[in-house]
Amino acid sequence: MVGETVIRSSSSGENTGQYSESLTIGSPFAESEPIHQKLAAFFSILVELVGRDLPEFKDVLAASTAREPVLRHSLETYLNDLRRRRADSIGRLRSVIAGTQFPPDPASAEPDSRFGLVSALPGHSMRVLATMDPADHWLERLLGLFADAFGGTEGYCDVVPAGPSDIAVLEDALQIVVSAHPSLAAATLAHNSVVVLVEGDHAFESASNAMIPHAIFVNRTVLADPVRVAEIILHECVHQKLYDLYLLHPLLPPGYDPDSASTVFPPWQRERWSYDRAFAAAHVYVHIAAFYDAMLGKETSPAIARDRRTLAVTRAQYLISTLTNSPERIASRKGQEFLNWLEHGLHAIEPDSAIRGTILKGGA
Amino acid sequence: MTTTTIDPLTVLNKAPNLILRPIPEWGCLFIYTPTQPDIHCLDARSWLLFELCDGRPFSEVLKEFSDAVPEGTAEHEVLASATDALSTLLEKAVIRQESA
Repeated sequence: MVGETVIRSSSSGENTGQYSESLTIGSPFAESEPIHQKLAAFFSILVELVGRDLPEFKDVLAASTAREPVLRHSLETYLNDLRRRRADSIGRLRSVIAGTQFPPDPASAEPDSRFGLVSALPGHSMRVLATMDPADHWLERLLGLFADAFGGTEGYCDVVPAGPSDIAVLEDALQIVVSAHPSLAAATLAHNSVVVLVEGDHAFESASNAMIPHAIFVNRTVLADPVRVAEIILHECVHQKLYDLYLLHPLLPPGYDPDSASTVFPPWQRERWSYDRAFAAAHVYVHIAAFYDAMLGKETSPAIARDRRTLAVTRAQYLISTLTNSPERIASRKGQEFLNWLEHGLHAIEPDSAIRGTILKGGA
Repeated sequence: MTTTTIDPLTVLNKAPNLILRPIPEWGCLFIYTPTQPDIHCLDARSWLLFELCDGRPFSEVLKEFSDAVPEGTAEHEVLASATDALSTLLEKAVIRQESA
């Protein structure tokens, strides 16, 4: 199935579109299910370690680990503390867990009054923050991480609760991704658990941060356009997937430091990007290209699909070809495999031989 | 590929008190190493070599490993592959070595 183009048909046999599955099947970086199984194993080790010191929380930890933003952040911090042999790690973890009600696992449709539920994939739901109770310890922790990750945002970019109409747009947006490219949706959307809306004069359009795994932040003002929201959610879920992959694979060289890494200066940007930022952006643009490419294969596709596809393809080509010769790529075997996989996926979308020649120039 | 060499008589053992999480369906093994606290993901090749580190000398580990690699693989490639993977496992405190 690798690299095959799938022709989808309706029950009447009518052709309803086509898409490439190069990005979504047949690679350790593609399907979500094996990644989640590996993450579950990874975090079960941490749960066992923490459970030795905090046996009273073992059930809480076992129920909510790899796919819950606050607890996962705490467990990743705990592991980093272990690596650095910091003595106070367990105490800090206890303070996070005690008295905190974590959201149900995304595999569960169990209701939680703090959230609306949006679902597009079998066995997976995203929770949309819909109420903000100042006494909610989980929310307090999440807002703390939000402030740490995105700086002093109060008054400029504030977390706001979603209303029923917001949640309906988010649900529609997820359905657009699934409808356009089912396997792309399955390979990406399952890497996010929580959607949080933001507002403010200086609020970003959307954002993710490795400090807050499995949570994405979306500006309420973009919710007017479901196709745009679909792209944004896909974009952020692809970032989330990369955070998951970073835990499992050494995609960056040992001891990687973004401050001293080589940089990329994309022509559409005003600043240079560090290697890891360009690496993550290449990952996103290839997926966005696949999404709009699949939309173009449908009988009815939005007017912007062609332009957005071209933009994503062009940027992905630029980034992949630029990263190909970087010392960081050469220093990480897994990083090379990852970029080769992206290149293969892009080639399935845009098999222009001249462009491919450029991409491969100087590559291993 | 590393240029490290391992003496054929060196006895190789698993490190003590490891926490293991095998995922055979995806050909990987997660290991927590308490002496150098971290979690490592071993691929199928490293996992096989790890399992062979049961107190036997490197020469025997290599012989068993050679039987598992694809037929026709050059001897020097087998040696380099095993030495590379075992050196990494030693460096990460997944296994330990004892002189015979």
